[in-house]
Amino acid sequence: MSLLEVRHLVKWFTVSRGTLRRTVSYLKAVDDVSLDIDEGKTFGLVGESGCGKTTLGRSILRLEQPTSGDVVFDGIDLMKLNAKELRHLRPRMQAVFQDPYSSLNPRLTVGEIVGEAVEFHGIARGRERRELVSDLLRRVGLEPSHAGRYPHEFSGGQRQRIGIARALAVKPKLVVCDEPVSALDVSVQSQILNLFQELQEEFKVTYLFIAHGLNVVKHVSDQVGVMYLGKMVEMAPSEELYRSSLHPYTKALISAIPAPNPRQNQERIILEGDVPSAVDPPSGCRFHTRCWLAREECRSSEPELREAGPGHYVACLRV
Amino acid sequence: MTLLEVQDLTTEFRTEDGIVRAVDGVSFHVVRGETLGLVGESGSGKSVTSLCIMRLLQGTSARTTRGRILFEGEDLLKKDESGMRHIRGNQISMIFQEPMTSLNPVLTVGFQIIEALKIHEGLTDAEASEKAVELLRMVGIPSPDRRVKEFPHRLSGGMRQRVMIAMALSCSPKLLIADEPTTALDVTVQAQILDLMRRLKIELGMSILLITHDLGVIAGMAHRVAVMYAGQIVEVASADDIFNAPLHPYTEGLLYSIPTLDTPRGKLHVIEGTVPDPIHMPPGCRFHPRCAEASPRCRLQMPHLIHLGDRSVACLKYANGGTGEASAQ
Repeated sequence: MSLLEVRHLVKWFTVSRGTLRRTVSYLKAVDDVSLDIDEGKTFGLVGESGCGKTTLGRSILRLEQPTSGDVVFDGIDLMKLNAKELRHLRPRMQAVFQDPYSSLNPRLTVGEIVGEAVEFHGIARGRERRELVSDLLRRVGLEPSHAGRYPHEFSGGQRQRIGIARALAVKPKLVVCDEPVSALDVSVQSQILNLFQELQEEFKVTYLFIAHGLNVVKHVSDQVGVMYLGKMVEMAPSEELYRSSLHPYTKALISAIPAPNPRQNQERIILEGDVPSAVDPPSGCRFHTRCWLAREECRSSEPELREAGPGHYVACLRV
Repeated sequence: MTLLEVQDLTTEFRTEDGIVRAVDGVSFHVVRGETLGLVGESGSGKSVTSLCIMRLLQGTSARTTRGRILFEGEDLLKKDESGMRHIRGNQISMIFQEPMTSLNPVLTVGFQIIEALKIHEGLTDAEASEKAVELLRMVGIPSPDRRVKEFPHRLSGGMRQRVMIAMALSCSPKLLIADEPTTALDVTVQAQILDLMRRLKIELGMSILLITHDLGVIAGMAHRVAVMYAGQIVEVASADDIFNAPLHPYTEGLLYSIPTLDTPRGKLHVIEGTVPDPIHMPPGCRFHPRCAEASPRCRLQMPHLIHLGDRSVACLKYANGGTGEASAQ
């Protein structure tokens, strides 16, 4: 059963200019994206900077007000909720952010950071709250005695553990993880990835896991979606996507991951140029300017996301 | 033939909390025409090592207390500032992680390249600007004659890193130090830049000291690899040996902890714990608190690099089979 259903989600930011701040154009950060996540599963979302993956995550949580589209979470249409109703729902959908240095309030102790929402949402108070915080800290690999300390006393990896404890404190069903390991060292990265998996088994949480590293995403995800310039270009079960990717952009992304072994002679696809601007995206297929398979039709008509195999969706005119 | 030889380099920083020995007895060499990968996690001392080679730590609280940096046989640590100025840019160049902040935002790209050419090569304005366009073309910047007049903010991250590479190569250096050159870039752009560096290295016949935390980048670029941990070198070997037959438990742990496309889903291998606090380094082997194979001896005795054929490793496990300590060579 789907815990989260996203339908035709659009988020445009206005670009304004001049003293009157006239709207001159739109930055189409997320442009008609649909996806489903089953309960207890992980959906991995990958793409390069500026592809809209972070905006999509924030729009799903309504941290950003989407321009149009529907988000149905656990049977509730999030777009119809007012601020108060949304606040009631917040404990059930949480987020873990990329930068463990800026996402924790430096003036609060770890105990306050983890326990603040617990008290606000009336989950626990006083001694009960302190016990809950101690349990959580222990669970994410910290000490209960750390509750009295401040974020600056911790390393990057430990701070990310604090961020995870904060997200889990209110017993969420969905956690949006936005590049949660990108800022961490390799040896710490694997610790945190393992922690995410253990916690999923224990608390039955559902993850939307956003990252730019395909190897990381593949490792944690059941389903993977690839975004390019605000569009979902390919979506498939994780193994399937890596074994038989269809979209040329996905192929290029996979081949661009440097394999940690000099003996592995991998096929290298090197894309030309940079990602174009989302303010003025290319006509037709947005990838055509960098695609080695592009033909005349790719310039003029926009490919639809269609089912190419069971559960395997792709938006390309050439496959 | 050896181009650069670093011997027993030790550099300390004075901080409010005490002395931090960021680089502690580091020795390695770079052969002409080879790429040496220097790999380690944050705080391992890899960037400080590169800044020492370029002597870019003057004016900070850093002090190099021991060691020699021999470049073509001459000790760079004994050179004065004007002597160093002949080396920097001319003989050894450097590119940094942040292409966004390494370029001067108020000067055009062309001006910044021309400046170096005039100082180091003694070219006239006209010659230098012609060479600048040529350099931009060499690093794959489209319409270089137009780009040369633009300011850095008009360029993307990948383009800026190309400009940095063009500047670094403008005086045909013998050694290029690349400190995390692709860390700030997207994967498809990273692939472009690595491809460019591979091509230019062959065309220009220079050596590269490639500093990165990314073992994947190292695997595709380096001939030999030196692994650093907590300010020391723990293993040096050919890239093939490092990735297929690592000796040091840290190297091994690091390799297994990276998820690759072939790793099955499930638990990843983990190196427990975190990098030690540089002010309170553990006694004995610095890796022993995180090492699954540590014996009581590891807590007491600091291992030195020992040579095993054409590779070396600093671990007591191998202390009996070696051919003597590297520091005593």
